[in-house]
Amino acid sequence: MTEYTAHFIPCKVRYNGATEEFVDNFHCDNEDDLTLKRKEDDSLNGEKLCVRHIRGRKIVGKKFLGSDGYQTFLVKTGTREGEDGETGQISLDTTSKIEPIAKISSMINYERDGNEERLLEELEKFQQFLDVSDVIHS
Amino acid sequence: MTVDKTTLSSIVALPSALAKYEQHITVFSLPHPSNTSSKQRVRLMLGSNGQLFELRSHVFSKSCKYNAKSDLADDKYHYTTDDQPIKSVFLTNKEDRSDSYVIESGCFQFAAKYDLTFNLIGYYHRNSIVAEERDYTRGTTEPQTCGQPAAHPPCLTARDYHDLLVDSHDPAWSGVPLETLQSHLSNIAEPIEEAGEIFYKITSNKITAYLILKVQKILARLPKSLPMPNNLPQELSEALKVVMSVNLLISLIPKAAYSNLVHFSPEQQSVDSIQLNISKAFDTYHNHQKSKLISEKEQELQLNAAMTVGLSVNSAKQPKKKVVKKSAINKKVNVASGKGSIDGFFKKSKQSKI
Repeated sequence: MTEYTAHFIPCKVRYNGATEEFVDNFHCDNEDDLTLKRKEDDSLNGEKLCVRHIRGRKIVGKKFLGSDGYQTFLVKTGTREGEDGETGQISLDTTSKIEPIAKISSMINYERDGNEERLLEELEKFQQFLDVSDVIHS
Repeated sequence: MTVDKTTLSSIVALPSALAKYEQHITVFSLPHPSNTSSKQRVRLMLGSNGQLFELRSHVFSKSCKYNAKSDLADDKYHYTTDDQPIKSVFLTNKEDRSDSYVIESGCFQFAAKYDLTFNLIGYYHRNSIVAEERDYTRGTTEPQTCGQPAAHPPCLTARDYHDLLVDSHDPAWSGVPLETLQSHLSNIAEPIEEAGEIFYKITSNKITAYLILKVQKILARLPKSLPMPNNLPQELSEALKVVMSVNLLISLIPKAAYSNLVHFSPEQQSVDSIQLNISKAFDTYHNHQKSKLISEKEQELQLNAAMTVGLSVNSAKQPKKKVVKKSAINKKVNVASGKGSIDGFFKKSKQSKI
């Protein structure tokens, strides 16, 4: 099964589908990468952040749901002919099946440079939600 | 396997108990356990050992509805013209960068542990229906006044309960295995063993006892981000924590179950030797709220008094009389000239021409 990395970027792209734009773009600035050799240790309050650029604008990201025993998949939710699948939501009323078609090795949430506070706050609140949900339902 | 370009895709994070089913996982839905009409059905998945997981959606860069107004005032979040959060997803393949994808929606889904007992409580209090969550803390919360109590069977086996739920509540209960239902029934029902079979009778007291155990668990691990004032006395601080823990359950239980929980006192009801006095905690919290409101009004009155200090009591009450300024009228006496005998005396002296 093919493995992908999911980047949740802080901009709206009005497109769904395959692209070859990332062959020469959207590389990580502060990791050992095949194309860019520049190393930069971007961090905030000891939190290591991933730095990339979209059209020259710097964005910073942090991994989430990586160490909680979760495994992430890309799943098929419907065909393009059905409008219901537009939001990517699995149907609520009828019994449906999740069919994994690829693996997601890691998920990274990004915010624009200078908005790191919101990035960390959102990720922390999401983690707190998972913790309290686990307490209630265990 | 590569992603088929003709299908829509969604990102789903699954716990290890589900992740091993790489072929396909069945999702079914049940009515929301809180019986709140504005809430959608819960989407559930069955894992190994009959454990259930709820499939939830999340999107970053979006304000939660409780902070929506303050975030709007702070200009914290921005949305597209069709009110969608500004978030999309890029999928990159590290091995082959040309095999990449763009997903317009920034929404992803994840599976979290789910306790089916809440749905059984929802069925027990199925006549307790509210439109919105805010109705829980509004108006009467007296126990047993939140809708007419539903008729309940005296005692049923787990299999009979399963049939009853499928027939009279929702057909989707058929997706729940009998063993799973049985283990959750035993949380809130009195088991009666007779003729080699176990019969279950759900009781209000057992439901309250189960929910108090949940409150105690939440109390021990209350989320850090909840706003907790630092300068409160110890007793009040503890009461506030209990109130917050109870209110965290609002999203999962019907109003009738919430009302019974709020009015629970170990002095009046003896439930499994539970000592947590929720009723007293709510009373302490409400008394504090009332005294805070009174002191705020008193401060307002004192401030008004301070603003009017130095003015006589009557002066403040008597309306000011309008002072009508009378303009002095200069009455010039016009003397008719050129008619009388002494007119010459008033005549202007003619300047002599030199």
